Amino acid sequence: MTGEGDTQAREPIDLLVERFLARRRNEPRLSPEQFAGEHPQHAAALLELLPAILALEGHKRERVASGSGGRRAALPKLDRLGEFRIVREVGRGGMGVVFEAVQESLGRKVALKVLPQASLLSGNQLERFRREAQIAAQLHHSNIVPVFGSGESDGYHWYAMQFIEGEGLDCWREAQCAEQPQGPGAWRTRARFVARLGAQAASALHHAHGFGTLHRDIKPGNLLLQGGDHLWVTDFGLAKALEAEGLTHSGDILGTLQYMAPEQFHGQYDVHSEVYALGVTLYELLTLKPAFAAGSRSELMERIRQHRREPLRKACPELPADLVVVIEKACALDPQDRYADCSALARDLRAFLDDQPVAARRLSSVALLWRWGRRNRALAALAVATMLAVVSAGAMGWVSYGVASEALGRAEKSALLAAQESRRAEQNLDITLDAFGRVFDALVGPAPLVAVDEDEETGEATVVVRAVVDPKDLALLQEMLAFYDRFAAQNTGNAALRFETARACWRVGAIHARIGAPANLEAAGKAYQQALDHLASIADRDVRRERAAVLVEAAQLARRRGQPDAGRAALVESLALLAALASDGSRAIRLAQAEVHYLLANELPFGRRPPAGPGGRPDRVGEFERDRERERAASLREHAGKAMALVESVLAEDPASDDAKSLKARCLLLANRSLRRPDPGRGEGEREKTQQAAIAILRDVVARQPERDDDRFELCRALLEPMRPEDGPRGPREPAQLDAAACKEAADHAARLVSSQPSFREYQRLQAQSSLVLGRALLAADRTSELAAARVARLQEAEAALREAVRIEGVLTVAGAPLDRMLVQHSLQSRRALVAALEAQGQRDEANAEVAAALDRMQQFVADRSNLPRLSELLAMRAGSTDGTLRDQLRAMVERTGDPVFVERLRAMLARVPERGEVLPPEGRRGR
Amino acid sequence: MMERTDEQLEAALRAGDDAAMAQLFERHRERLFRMVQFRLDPRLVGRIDADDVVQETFLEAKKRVLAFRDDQKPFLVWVRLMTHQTMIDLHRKHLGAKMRSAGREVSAPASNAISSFFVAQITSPSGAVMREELRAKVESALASMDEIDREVLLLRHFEELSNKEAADVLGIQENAASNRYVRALTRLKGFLADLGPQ
Repeated sequence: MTGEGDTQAREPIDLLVERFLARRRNEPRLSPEQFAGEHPQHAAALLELLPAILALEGHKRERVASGSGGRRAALPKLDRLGEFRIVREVGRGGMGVVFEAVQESLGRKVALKVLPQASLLSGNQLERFRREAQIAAQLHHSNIVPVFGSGESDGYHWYAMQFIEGEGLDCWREAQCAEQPQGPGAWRTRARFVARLGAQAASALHHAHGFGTLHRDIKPGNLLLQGGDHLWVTDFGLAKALEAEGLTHSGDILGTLQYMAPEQFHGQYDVHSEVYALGVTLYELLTLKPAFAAGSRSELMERIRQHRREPLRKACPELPADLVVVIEKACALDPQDRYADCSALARDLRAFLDDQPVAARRLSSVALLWRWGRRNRALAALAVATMLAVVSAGAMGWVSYGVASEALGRAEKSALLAAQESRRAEQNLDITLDAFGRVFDALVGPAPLVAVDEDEETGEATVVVRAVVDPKDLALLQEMLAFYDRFAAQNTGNAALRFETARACWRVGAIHARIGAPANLEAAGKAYQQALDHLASIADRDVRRERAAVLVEAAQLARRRGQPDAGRAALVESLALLAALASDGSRAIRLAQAEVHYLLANELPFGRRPPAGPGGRPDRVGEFERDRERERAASLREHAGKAMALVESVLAEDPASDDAKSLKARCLLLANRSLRRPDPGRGEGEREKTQQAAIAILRDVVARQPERDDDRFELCRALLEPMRPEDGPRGPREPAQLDAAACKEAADHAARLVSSQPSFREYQRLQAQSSLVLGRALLAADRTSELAAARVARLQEAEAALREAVRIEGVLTVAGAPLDRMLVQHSLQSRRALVAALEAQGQRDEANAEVAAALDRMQQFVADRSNLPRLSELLAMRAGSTDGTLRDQLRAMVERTGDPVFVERLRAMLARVPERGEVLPPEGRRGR
Repeated sequence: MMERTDEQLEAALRAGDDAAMAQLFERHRERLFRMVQFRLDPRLVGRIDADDVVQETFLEAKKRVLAFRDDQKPFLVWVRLMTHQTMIDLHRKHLGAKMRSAGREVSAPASNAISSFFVAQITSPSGAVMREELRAKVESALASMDEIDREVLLLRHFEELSNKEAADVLGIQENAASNRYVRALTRLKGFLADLGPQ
């Protein structure tokens, strides 16, 4: 601060002040008075300003001395505060000092938290502090330290709580640090101990959350341990009350920063953040070191944000895996990946303690890889490409390596080296193949055939197939395809690699099946056959399971390609392989058998009905067909029965197996479906009960494992099934009962499925269907409703649902796509219901517009006679229309279709339609 | 080796001596630290450390040494701007959409932050209510000041800039800066005098 150059330009007082400050540095005792005396002409001003400047300066020094600005106000020694007699100081934290005290009026021992006097509570803060204390005082839970009250005495704000004879878990942890558990037994004891504490804390927090109170400062120091195993949560909401306006200073926040959830850094804080903080706390109690060790603030924040901490599994390899899963789920980076609330965490901790399966399934490495791939799609593609290059080089190199090392091996002294090299190459290959296999599993997933659906009217089967998951994955899949193709081609002659080659072919098949274009389906069939051939030629290991699995996939492929008999043969062969294996009694084999039986039983719609006659419905079936039909039905029943028996036997041993439960539900649903037509009279109540049982199973599975999309799909269908139109003497009629609640549930599930796999048509279809049924249910309810307001609301809801259905169907029937009859029918149904909803609301014009739009759409489908009944319905609805384009539309249809029968019908309709402008019904006129 | 003056270092830096950057920065570190300290959004106190900001600025300054050579600004002014930018970035990052005008808020230190510094200075046990009143008074005094006056006060006092430096930073004439400084002091004196001597 040199001032020579600019003296001319400055105020004299300014210069004097500067000089004064400069001198004070060397003469700390220099007083303003003395200095003012030396400059009499400015004495008055100096005397006025200098003390203030000194105050400023002194303050500045203090701040600089205290580092980053924290001020830890000291509390003088207190003997008494209001009605509290202070016994001793028990702790000192950033927010104040905790005393053991006696509340003399009641003679009870309390823990008294006293905020430092220097902490200036603004009006707002004080208010908040009191409010939080009040709320905390309302919490009554065996694991929450009761708050007696708060107040102010002698200028100190205090907060009185029940005195807990115990220690904070931070102290406990420090004490434990001396002795890490030795051996699995000791680790198990520790794990159970921490889980018990965690369950108590979680249940306490959940209780508070129920009252809308967040703790906001969960950390070991705020969890007190009493009598060895009882946990108390303390200081509810205090952090919040004090934090906002800087009462808790940097130093104090630093203490809790380690437990802060990443989303807190941008101001989000909710129940998920508390789950996280508790998770991180439990992590620390298990490992005895913080999940995120202290460091510079920004660096620590960066680590938290990037989730850079040692995985619990690595930090304590001896911990029981289930507990690791639970804790890792609690402190997941993304709030959505954590437990939904503290009670779910408490439940899982208790499940662990009771040796029950925990709901948080471990994120398998595959899932992790998959997620990583989703997040970094470009990187994943690159990684796959790179791996591909390395592995193909390795695989091909390996073969030549073998030759080379053989040659080398002849030279005695190189033999050992050659063997080592060869082994290493083999290992590398194994590792890369394994890694690749994981990517494959994650991307391709289970067999793409999801279900077989049956057209409610014509009985035609639609195969429900999961298409390519995502166009973005296509590139990856094709890369992988190239790799496996090359691998298989290169190693066909290599006996040692035959198994891997077979697997590669298998995967080629699966990838093609996933891509799903007709050419791919054909290629898939070939690849599966190759895989089977390779497997058949393997003699040195048991590959029956693999063969069975490939056969099942091949069977599903055959069905998709419209070759039910080939599919059936493959399934039977698979069954034979599994039966031979079943002697070892393994549950997995039995479950696989059950699955195959189920698939065989589920063959139901294929070829069951002869092609529809001219009347659109099968009415005359030959004697031969009838016999075949009976035979087949018997066989299907037998498979269904076997599937169920096997599933039950698996469930008897392992009642928690979700795979078995899911299959059981499917079997139940299948039984119901097959009952539907042949024996409609048989116990409707029983059918309903079976359906509900299946629904309950699936609901349970899906609730615990939300990622099981296939089960969710099944559940959604099961919910909608009872609401399908029923067979009546004159075609389908509205189902007897439409359950709006079930429809809503189904619609929710469908929406979730669509958001999980947006490009999967079947899910969209399901969503459309559930919207349609929901709309209908609401319309049906409308008829019985009396309150006008409720009626309007319901109609509007119905309209919205139906519009959604129409919208999705519009998206699905893209131009150029192969005609999808079920979709067309659904689409027409949706329109019709929508028109009904609009008319019920008195919106005639809109209703007419919808009919016109539907007719427009019909132009595309006019070639298909089976759409005729719907078309006539639409036309009937349109009969009163004022818009004269109807005749034009009909004429266009007549021109487009070549079918004489259809033309005849259209002509008949045309005859009933008024000429343009001929008839103007009064409603229509009013609307103009 | 003789200790070089700030001017010599600055000239060396301009001439291509990259090592001079570190020395020069070191000399200004304290001021920059204070600059950050007083301007950090109170919402970020506890999340960001002034030290970290200064450190980050240093790294940035090192990267941009070429830009400094192209620029005619004195080093202090230049490095302050850089610090300022670092703070803006951090504010944006941490407060996100809530900070529509991060730049302005950073440059204008929160007056309640300053007032609480003044008030915390009081050691006499005058009670919370009185302190609260006092803080309100300081706050309104600061708020009533001309923005540049307030800046001069801050620069001169807390960042210990010379009058010339303060004038450079604010882009005003030296006499104007001095003038404003005295004006700000006079406005504050009313209640600062109440605080009594140290």
